[in-house]
Amino acid sequence: MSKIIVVTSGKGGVGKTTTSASIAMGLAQKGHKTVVIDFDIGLRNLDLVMGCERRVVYDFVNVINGEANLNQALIKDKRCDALYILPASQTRDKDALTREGVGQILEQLKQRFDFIICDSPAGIEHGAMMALYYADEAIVTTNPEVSSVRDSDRILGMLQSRSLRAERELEPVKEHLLLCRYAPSRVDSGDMLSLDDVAEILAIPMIGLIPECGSVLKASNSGNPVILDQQSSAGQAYDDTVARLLGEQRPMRFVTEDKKGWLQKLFGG
Amino acid sequence: MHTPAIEFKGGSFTLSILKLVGQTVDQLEQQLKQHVQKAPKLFSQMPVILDLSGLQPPLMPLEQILTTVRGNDLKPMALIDACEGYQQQAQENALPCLRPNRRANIQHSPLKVIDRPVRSGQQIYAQGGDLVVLAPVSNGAELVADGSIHVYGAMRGRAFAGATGNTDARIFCHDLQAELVAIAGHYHLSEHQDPTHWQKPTMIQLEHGRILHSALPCPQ
Repeated sequence: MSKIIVVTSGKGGVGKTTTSASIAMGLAQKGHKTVVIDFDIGLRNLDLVMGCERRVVYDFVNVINGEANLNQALIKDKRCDALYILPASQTRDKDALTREGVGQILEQLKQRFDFIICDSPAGIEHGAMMALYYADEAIVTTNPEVSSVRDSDRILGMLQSRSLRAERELEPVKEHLLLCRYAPSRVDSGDMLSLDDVAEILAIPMIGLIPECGSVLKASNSGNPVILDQQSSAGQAYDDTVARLLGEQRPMRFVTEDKKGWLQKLFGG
Repeated sequence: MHTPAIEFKGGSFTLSILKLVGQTVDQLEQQLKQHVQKAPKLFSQMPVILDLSGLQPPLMPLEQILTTVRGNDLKPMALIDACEGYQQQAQENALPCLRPNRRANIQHSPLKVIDRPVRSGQQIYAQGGDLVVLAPVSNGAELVADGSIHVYGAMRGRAFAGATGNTDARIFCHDLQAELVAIAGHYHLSEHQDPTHWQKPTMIQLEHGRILHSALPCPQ
């Protein structure tokens, strides 16, 4: 039974694409056939983070419009056989996504893949609604900051009211909270909301905590999902997250400041 | 400073419905006159909603009905439950058509219970009765009830009790962090919140037109 997982947040720049790339790569590395779809039509980014931007010929919108078939648009990852990327169109806008078109493509993908990861655009408009509409599960990406938390709350409301599962009154979309860019030292100094604060406000189970880490930027710029960098704390945290998504129990790491990690950062380790 | 030239505000008014069942305009004129003469001061310039649903075909022209009603010093504001023919005539006479109020048909108003978090941007309305929320209410969420509101999770959103004017409605919060509380249109912002009740079990009620907070007893 394949699962459709939307990575969403409401607010922009909190780590949706980074998360989509790493979760998809992590699931594929564990042998699950996985496809990751970029729903951010017009602001195509996922292909860059996945390092396949020079291999994009056809895209999601081409397939919806019948200008290409799914096989022509899917890009196979060079590092992992089980992983495919469906890139967004850069020259169209979100209105190119129709509910029927997206539904048909997801139905086809379900035949071939175990996991379908939908990388949502920011906002609560049409593009984001299309990304979450068919979801079985949602990874709500949040930064420990009040505006990000409030926007995530808004998206949770949308998941409960505007998704297919809500409309058909099926079992609700399973919600997971992923807290990104967490800096324990700044929580201690009171600059940042704590894990408990965020978990209390959003009141959904935590699937992971990704520490603020220089490796994320480096990974994005080099086109390698950060989960591939198992030396980095962010890479390890994504690995934990993927394991939890697959039902494993792992303790939450990087909640408090790690002295060694800080020194490592100082010496560029 | 920029001041807007217009401002839309909510408001609810009680208007009388004048139900017409006569056969001819003359009949209407006669009975209306008799009725108004009983208390001319009371009826003077009184706004009324016209209910023409009791009139039998062939329909009298709306214009004649309006002339008769206005001739008796009443002010017809709108039609209610109008048939298609009258709807069109109402449009020609620049009169709005109202749909009959469904609330009037509700005999019994059940309690509305919400057991999932109410998220930012969501609005819950308990029509005609009380609202109970067993989960947290987020900043930017709105609870509206014609009766009272009870929140068992943290209350961070806005609560409007007595939305249709019931001044006896109350708000009960087990963890008060509300952005705004209002009862029958009287509101109170968290900016002016007395810190003694913040994050505490609190009851909010209206007393002499003022919002009053008081501590709820909580078991230790």
